[in-house]
Amino acid sequence: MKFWDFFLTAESGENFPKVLLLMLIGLALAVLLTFLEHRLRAKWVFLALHAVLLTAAAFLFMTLGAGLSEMLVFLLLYLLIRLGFVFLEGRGKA
Amino acid sequence: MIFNSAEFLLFYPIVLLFYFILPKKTKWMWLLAASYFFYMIWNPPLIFLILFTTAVSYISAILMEKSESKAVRRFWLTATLVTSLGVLFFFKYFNFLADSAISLWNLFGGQADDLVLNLILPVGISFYTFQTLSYVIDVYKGSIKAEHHFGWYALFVSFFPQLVAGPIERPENLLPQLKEDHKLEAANAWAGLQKMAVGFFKKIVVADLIAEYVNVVYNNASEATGWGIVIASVLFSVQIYCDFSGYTDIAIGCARVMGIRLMQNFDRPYRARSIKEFWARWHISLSSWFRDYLYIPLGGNRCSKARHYFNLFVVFFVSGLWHGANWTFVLWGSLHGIYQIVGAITKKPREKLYAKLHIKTDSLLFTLWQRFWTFVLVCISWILFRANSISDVGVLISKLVSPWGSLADTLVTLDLNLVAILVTVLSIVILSILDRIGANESIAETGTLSRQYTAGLTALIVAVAWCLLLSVGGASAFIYFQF
Repeated sequence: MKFWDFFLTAESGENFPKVLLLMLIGLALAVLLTFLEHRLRAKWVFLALHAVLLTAAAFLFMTLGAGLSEMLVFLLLYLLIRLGFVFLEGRGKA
Repeated sequence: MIFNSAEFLLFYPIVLLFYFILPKKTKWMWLLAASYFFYMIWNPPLIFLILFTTAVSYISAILMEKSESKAVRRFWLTATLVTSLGVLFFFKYFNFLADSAISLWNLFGGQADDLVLNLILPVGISFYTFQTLSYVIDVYKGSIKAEHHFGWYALFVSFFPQLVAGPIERPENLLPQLKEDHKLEAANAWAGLQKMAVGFFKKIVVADLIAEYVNVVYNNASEATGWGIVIASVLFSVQIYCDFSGYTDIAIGCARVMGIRLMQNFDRPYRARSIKEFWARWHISLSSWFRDYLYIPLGGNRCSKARHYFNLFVVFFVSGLWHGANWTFVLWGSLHGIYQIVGAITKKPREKLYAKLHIKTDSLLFTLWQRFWTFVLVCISWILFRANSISDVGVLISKLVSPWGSLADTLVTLDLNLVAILVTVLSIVILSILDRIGANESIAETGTLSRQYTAGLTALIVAVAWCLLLSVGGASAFIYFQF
C-alpha cells in the first residue's frame, strides 16, 4: 500500500497526487506571503493576496475533484502556518 | 435555539441591530424578548418555568431586604431554596430517584411497579437555577442589594448567550453591565467575533469531528476493544473540552460584541498539574459556585481533617449529581472527590519524598510528568462520565484490564484513516495555539499580522467543516445542554 493510499477518499480518488502537490505549493506560497506580510507590513496588499491565493486554491481543488475534507486539511495547515507566525512574532516582541 | 444552527445566524445580527439602535430605556425589553424567544424556539411552555423561578427569587430577595428580622430573612431564603431546588429536583431527578428507590426495594424482595413520569428535562435548568440561587444567597448575606426592577432581574436570569449552558454568572458582575448603555465599539466587536470564531472552531471542527469516533466505542461498549476505549477516552477528553469551552467562547463572544463581559469559564484545564488545579481551570463558574455556596458554608478546610475530607467529597458528589440524573455522573463526581482526598492526604508525604530525592518540582520535566498523570486520571474519570450506563462502565473497565487487542484492527473499526488522524491532530495543535494566544494577551496584542484575518481564516475553516458536517447529517447539540 502506497503512502497516499491512506489519504484517498471517495471525493479525491486518483487525482490525489496532484491535490497533494497543489497543497504543498499552496502552503509554500502561504509561508512566503505571511513572511512578507510580517516584514513589509503592507497589510491590505497581503490580505488581498491571501484572498486570491485561497480562491485560486479552492478553484483548483474543485477542478481536480478534491473533496471538502482535502480542502479542510489545506485550510487547517494554512491556519497553522499563520498561527505559528502570530505566535513567534508575539513571543519575539513580548 | 443552538449557536451552531442556521436560525442563530439570522437571530443574532437582528438582536444586535436593534440592541444598538434602540434607546437605553428600551434595551432591556428587547434583550429580554430576544432571550425568551431564544429559549422558546426549543420548547415554548417551559418559559413559564424560568418565569416562575425568576419571580420567586425576585420577590423573596426584596422581602429579605425589607426585613430587619434574621428569622424572617432566613425563612424567605429557605422558601426560595426549597422552591427552586424543588423545581430542579422534580424535573431533573424525580424519575431517576424513583427508579433507583424502586430498584432497591425490589432487590430486597419488594414488588413495586415502575414509577416513571413523562417529564421533559428543561434545557439549562441547572444553570439558571444556580444563577438565581447565588443572587438570593448574596442578598441574604447582605453582600449585594436586591434588584427592584423586575425587567433587569429577569434579563439577568435569562440573558440568552449564557442562559442554557453558562457561564453561571454572579449578579455583581452581570447585573450592572446589563444596565449600562453600550454602544457599538470596534474593539469589542472584533474581540467578540474572534472569540466566537474560536468557539465555533472548537465545536464544529474539533468536537463534532471527534464525536464520530467516540460514539462508535461508547455506543457499542460490548464490541469495544481495550485500544478502542483508550483512544475514545483520550478523544473524548478533547471533545468535551472543545464542546463545552467552545459554547462558552461563543457565549462570551456574543456578549462581548454587545459590550458585556462574561466571566472566564476555562483556563487551559489540561495544563493542570493536579486534580485540584484541574478544577481551578475547568468550568470555573460552577467550581467557584460550589466553593462559595457549599464548600465554605460546610466549613471548607478550617475544620478537622476528617471533616475537611468529608466536605471535599460532598462537594464533588453533589457536583456529579448536578451534571445529570444518572449514577454514572454520581460515580464520576465521587471519583473526583476521592482524587481530591487522596491528593490532600498524600500532599505532605509527597513533598517530603521530592525533597529527599532532590527533585526540582518547578522543572519542565517534572511539570510535564505531573500534567501527564493528571491527564490520565481525568481521562479515567471521563469513562464514567461518557458511559451510557453503569453496566457499560463495568463492561468498559473489564475490557481495559484484559488484553487490549490489535491496534490496527481498532483503527479500522473506528474508521480512523490518515485524513481523519491528520485533521484531528492538526485541529488539536491549532486549538492549543489558539488557547495559548487567547491566554497570553501580549502575544495576541503585539503582533503586526492582522488578527482579524486570522479570525476570518478560522471562520472560513468553520464554514467548510460545517458544510462537511451537513453532508453527513448536520451539526449536533452541545453536550452540556442536557445538564
